[in-house]
Order: sequence, then C-alpha cells, then structure tokens
Amino acid sequence: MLKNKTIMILVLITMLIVFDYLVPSIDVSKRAIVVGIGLGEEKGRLLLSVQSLSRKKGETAEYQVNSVTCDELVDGIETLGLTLGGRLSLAHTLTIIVEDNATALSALDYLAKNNLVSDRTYILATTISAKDILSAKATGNESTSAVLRESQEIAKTRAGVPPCNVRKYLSDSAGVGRCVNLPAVTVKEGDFSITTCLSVKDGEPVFLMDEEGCLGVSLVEGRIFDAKTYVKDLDASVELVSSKLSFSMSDGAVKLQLKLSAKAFNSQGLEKDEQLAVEQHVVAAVTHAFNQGATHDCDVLHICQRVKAFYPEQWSTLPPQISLLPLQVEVRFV
Amino acid sequence: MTDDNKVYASQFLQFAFMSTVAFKVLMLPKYLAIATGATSWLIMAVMSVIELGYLALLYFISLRGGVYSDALPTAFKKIASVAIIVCCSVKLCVFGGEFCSYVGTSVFDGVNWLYIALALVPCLAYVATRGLNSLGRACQILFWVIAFTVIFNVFFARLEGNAYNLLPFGSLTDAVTGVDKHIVWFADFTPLLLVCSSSAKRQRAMSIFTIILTAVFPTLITIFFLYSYGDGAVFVDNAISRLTDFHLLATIMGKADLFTVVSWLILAVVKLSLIFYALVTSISVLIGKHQVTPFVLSALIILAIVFAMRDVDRYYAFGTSPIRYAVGAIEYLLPVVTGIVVGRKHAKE
Repeated sequence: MLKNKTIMILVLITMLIVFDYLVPSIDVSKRAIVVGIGLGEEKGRLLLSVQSLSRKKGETAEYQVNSVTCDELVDGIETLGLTLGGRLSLAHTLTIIVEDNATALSALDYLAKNNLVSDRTYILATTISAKDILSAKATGNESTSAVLRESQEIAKTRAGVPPCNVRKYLSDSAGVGRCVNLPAVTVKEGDFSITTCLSVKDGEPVFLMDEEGCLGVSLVEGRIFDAKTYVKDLDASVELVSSKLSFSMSDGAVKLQLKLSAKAFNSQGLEKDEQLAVEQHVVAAVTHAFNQGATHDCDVLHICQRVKAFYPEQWSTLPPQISLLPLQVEVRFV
Repeated sequence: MTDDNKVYASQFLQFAFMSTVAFKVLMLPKYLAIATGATSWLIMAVMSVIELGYLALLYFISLRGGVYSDALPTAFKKIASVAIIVCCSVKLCVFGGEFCSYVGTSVFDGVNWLYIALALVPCLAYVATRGLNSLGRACQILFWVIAFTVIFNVFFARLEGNAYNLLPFGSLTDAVTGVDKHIVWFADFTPLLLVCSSSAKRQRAMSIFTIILTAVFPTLITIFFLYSYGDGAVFVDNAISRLTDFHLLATIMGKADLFTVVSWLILAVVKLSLIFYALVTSISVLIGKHQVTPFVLSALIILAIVFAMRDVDRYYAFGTSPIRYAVGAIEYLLPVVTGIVVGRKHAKE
C-alpha cells in the first residue's frame, strides 16, 4: 500500500508535468506573438520589423511582417503593438536578424541586455535588408524565423559556421575582446544561405569573416558537429566530427592544440597522409581566422579572454595589438 | 512558549536547506558578478562552508529547545527577540521585494506588486499562526518536488558556455567587499534559532543528502551561471530561471522551466514563512501573544513592499544600505551567543 505522502508527491509531480504541456495551449489568437525580429536602418533611423503569428482558432498558422521606423527601440515596440491590436510578446522570438550598421546593432544590444527576448533566441547578421530576409517566403507552414533557426543549425553542420544566441552574445560582447561573431545570412531565390560571419566589436560592425575563418572559429570554440569541409590537397571532402581545444602559453606565445576527430566522407577512417592534409587544412583555417580578425584588431578566437583567465600573470605583458601576438596551432587526431 | 515549533530532525534539515538556498540562487549570482566578477563562485563556496558550520550550531541549539526555550533566562530571550525582530523585518522587506519582482517579471508579465503581496503575505501569516510543525509537515512533501526538479534539471541540462569564464579570481579586497555589500543575502540563521528539533536517529541517508544539497547547491548554480554568461552575467536577472532556459527537453516541449519556477516559489514561500514566524513569535516574547499580531504585521509588510520597496532598485538599495551591518552582526553573533548560553545552561544541569 502506498502511503498518503507518497501519493501526494506523485500527484504533485503529475500535475507539474501536465501543466507544463497545458501552459502553451492557451488561446493565442488575441496576442501579438512575435517569432522574428528584424533590425535595420532607414534614413539614419531604426527600422524595426517583426514577424508575428496571426492565427484564429482552428486555422493553420499564418505569419505577417510589420515594420515601423523609429528613433528608439521601445517606441517602435509600442507603435507596432498598437498596430497589431495588443501588446507585443517578444519572449517567443526564435530569430533576430540584424543589419551590419551601428543603429541596428545598438538596438540588438538593448534587446539582449534588457532581457526582452529569450536567451535561446538565435541572432543572424545580414548585409542586405533585415526586413527583406524576414519577409522572404518560407516553404511549408513554418515561419521564416523558424526556417532561419533550422538553417543556422544546418550551417553549423555543413559549413562549420558557429551559431550565436542571446546568451553567447551577452557573454562575448561583455568579455575581454568584446568581439562577437554573428552568422551572416543571405537569400537567393527563396533559399537562405549562411556561410560567413559578421564580426562585431563594441556594437560596431568590423568585418565579414569568410568561410575558412568561420571554420577556424568553430574548431577553436569546439562547436564542430559533423561539419563537412573540402580539403584541397586531398581533392575530397572530409567530415570533421568534433574538436576540443587545449590552450597554453609559453614564452609569450599562444599555443592552441586541437584534439580533432575526423573521418572520410565515406565514413571510413583517415590514412596517415590524409590526416596530414586535414591537419594542414585545419591549421590553415584557425590561423586564417586569427589573422583575419587581427587585421581589424578583433579577437575573434577570444584568445585574450583565455590568457586573462588561465595566465593572469602574463595578461599585463600582452602586446597592445592582437596582430603582434605569436600564435602556434597544433592538431592531434583522436 | 507553546510547542508549535517542535519538528523532526529531517524537517529541521529541510528548513535549513530551503532557508539557505532560496534567495541565493535568484538575484545574488548577478549581484556578486557585478561586485566581484569571476570570484563570485568562490565567494559562494566559502560562504556555504561557513553557513554549514553555523547550521551545525543551530542544530545543537534546536536540540535544546531553541532560543526561546523555557530553560533560558527571560532577560536573554527579550534581548534576542529585539535582535530577531530587527533582522527579520529587514529581510522580510528585501526578500519580499525580490519575490514580487520575480513573480512580476518571470511568472507573469508586468503584474502589479500589490496583487502579488496580497497573495503572499496572508499565506505567510497563516503559516505563522499554524506554527513550524505544520510548515515542517508541508516541507516533507514539498521537498520532494524540489529534489525531483534538481534531478530533472541535472539529468537534462544542456550547458553552453566556456570554462575561461570562471577565472581569474579577483583580489581578496574585492571578495570581502562583495560579501560585505550582500551580507543580507548570505546570513540565514535567525529564524532557525526558534526551531526545536528532535535528534536525527532516523532517515540518516536522507539527512546526508539534504546537507550535501544545502552545501553545494548555491555554489553550483553560481558556477553554471558564470560558465554560461561570463562577464555578461551582470546583465542577467533571475539566475536559476535563466539557466533552465537551456534544457534538452526545451527543444521538444518548447519550454521546461515550470518545475524550476514552482520549486523556487516553494523555496521562497517557506523561507519567507520562517522569517514571518520568527518575527511574530519574537514580538510575542516582548508584548505577549495576541491573535491580532500576524494581521497587523501583514498589513505593515504589504504596505512596506508595495510602497517602500516598489521596484528592484529600491529593495536592493535598502538591502545594501548601512542597515546591513546590523543584520550581519545579529545573524552571525546571535547564534554563537545563544549557543554559549544554551551550552552553559545544559552543562550546569
């Protein structure tokens, strides 16, 4: 026989599980649920676009994009709320698309630092209009924001572009180098493409990192997950399964040692000469990412943060510019 | 003194856990990150060890009837009651404000603090009239909800972050400043001085689990919080809620934070109930027991929270004002003095 106390505990746990499912089923037809936010610039003012859910009970989901030009983000949110007949609910936002200008990036900073969106919300940069990206017709019943969220995950796997969410934005933008890498999205004939990153420092766009640089950043951050990459020396693609970084410093030089797991595209292991080619490819990608950032004095690999954390006594002796920091990259296959 | 404060040892440990943990895992990690950066998790670890030592002392006192035991001198009890009233009044205002802020932002979207205080304070007053043994029985059930939440979140946690966010440690001066400024959030002993506990002969495994959880939980939350947000932690409110945003089941269910929300509300209500009980009982020691005391106090606290605390900045400013020295001194000295008085009394007997 179960004791009364045990029964009560079971009932409480069951209630919690049931309520967790019931809470999202509240009728949303009268709420302006925002799933995507576009931050751009128009004539020096902020162009705020929101993709919101427009649904009546029993009907399939439809999404609409509304825009407003404003001086402050809060004013734009209020104006759009009135336009959509209610208060904007930003907590469900899946994706934020931000243009490569200071006005849009400043609005992004405000959104992130004032807890207006969930920390899981993905952030994408774009060199074209954020409103156009948000308005692009997505296939199926899904919103553009949801498709972009999936595209970012696919980009991580296929091209090794590291994703960025609000949590990572907060962590990196407040860190030592204050450099954030935002995956950059473009749209061609209705298809989204994410192969590059926009490096942002102190709320200003710095440079657009190419595919090789993005791969280097992903490898150092350990965010590689079955990324496929073309190795020129092999004239074939290989799959980079995972990478783990060991960071050390000696004689003022930074040493990055990557423990790499990789396999051939046909899922077989790599031969010795193939490993050498992949090693060179990986070293080149990491060095390229570092150099590309260093050219713009942007610490894209967050090396300074690591030095400050693990070698605080050498932190004060670092050269004033990141480009003067000697870097050594090693790869070890596991 | 009535015997409504008599609890089992396991209930005392559950009080200790809930009382120690509740307000250390919500806003304190952010406040410490602002004051001391990456050192904050080390501060939390050191303070947790100190608090564990104090809990052992409190258990010693509780086995001998608590601070208001009939065996203790009346003069001592009156002095102790004044100290407890000061301490609990400040804590009730600060933590009441923090509770309303959390409910008003994370549970509901911009709800007026008045409604939250109106729901909370009568609940505290009810517990105060029923006594600690009733709260202890409730805790025996509620504790399992919290334990399940901890296991559920540990099992399905999806940690994102960097180990370098946990270093480097700042100077000792910074650490001392951080503790000094937030002493109100650390010391959580006075309400437990009133508890009269039986000895822990049964449920030894359960007791050990509770003690370990009490010791490590706030530190673990602070570590995960810093690991995830690094220097960006200074912008992040409600640490425990934000951490459970990253959950393996969140991708399937949309969100999986209801367990955490409910568990924290339980922790907070139990903690605030203990403080309220201590306040009402201490007033009774001074002026005698009156049925009207909890109601008058309730009204005063609602007014204080809604009009004087009003927002996050106000309750934080109040909690970090010079009044914190009085609270800190009472919290850390009163258990020691009580321990000496109780020990000498029993040694004589």
